[in-house]
Amino acid sequence: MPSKRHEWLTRIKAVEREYKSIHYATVFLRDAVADNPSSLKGELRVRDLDEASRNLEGTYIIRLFSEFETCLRAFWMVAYGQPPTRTRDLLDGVGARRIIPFDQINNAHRVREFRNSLVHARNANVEPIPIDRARSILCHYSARLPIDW
Amino acid sequence: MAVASNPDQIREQWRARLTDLIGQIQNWANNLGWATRQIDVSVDDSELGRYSLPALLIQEGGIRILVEPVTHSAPGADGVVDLYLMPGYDDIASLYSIEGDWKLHYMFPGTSAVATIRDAESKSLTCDSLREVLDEMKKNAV
Repeated sequence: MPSKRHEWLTRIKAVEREYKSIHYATVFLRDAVADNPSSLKGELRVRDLDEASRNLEGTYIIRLFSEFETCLRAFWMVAYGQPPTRTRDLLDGVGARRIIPFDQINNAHRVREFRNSLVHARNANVEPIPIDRARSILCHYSARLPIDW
Repeated sequence: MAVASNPDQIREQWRARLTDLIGQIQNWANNLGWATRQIDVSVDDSELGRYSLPALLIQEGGIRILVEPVTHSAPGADGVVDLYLMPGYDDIASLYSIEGDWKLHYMFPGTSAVATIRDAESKSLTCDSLREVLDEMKKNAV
């Protein structure tokens, strides 16, 4: 029987995999349109493709973090009852209860802050994190949860 | 959702091939001194539905590698299995089944860097090629 923890890790990884598929498709389409601009139909413009491509990784980082946060809330609900409202408190609370190393908690907060900067379009000084690095950080943190709950 | 004409048969054939592959890798890894443990993983396939398949954890010291099935079918391949460095789920290598033979795609030392593991040099999956990958993991461990 697959474990809960592993299922959640797989779901986080699946988001990155989906991003890679869409990224590949976007690059393929942009190259095709560059060769034959008239192939772009309807109301779409090349600048729409460019914009989609530019925002793609950020969009998937938001989804990645959403899977991670859902995992933590699901765990907390079973283990401790009503989870904290603020995600920052959720990360700190799980980190304390599961004795997660400080560097892993801090790294997860870095991903959270980057996600916030994408969602709220604020704080341009937040360091961008590539999706594969974000996934690795969130998986390292999630691996500290119990195998099943 | 597209459903294969005979999903039960395809699922069982895929499971049987995976069981052989996982068993072979487990045997080699054990002989190379790594601890191993088979686990079940859940797969949600657009053609075959949701079902469980065997996977393998390989560990030595602090290095843990997961050998996990990805899909029974992909362009140019009749099976894909990925190797990940856990717990980060970092991509290490991929196994592609080409007409029943498993090919190991990995950025072996001394080969040109490529964008994706699929583009990396491939070798037939053997105990020796598996040992190369496991040895590199040990060398790069921090």
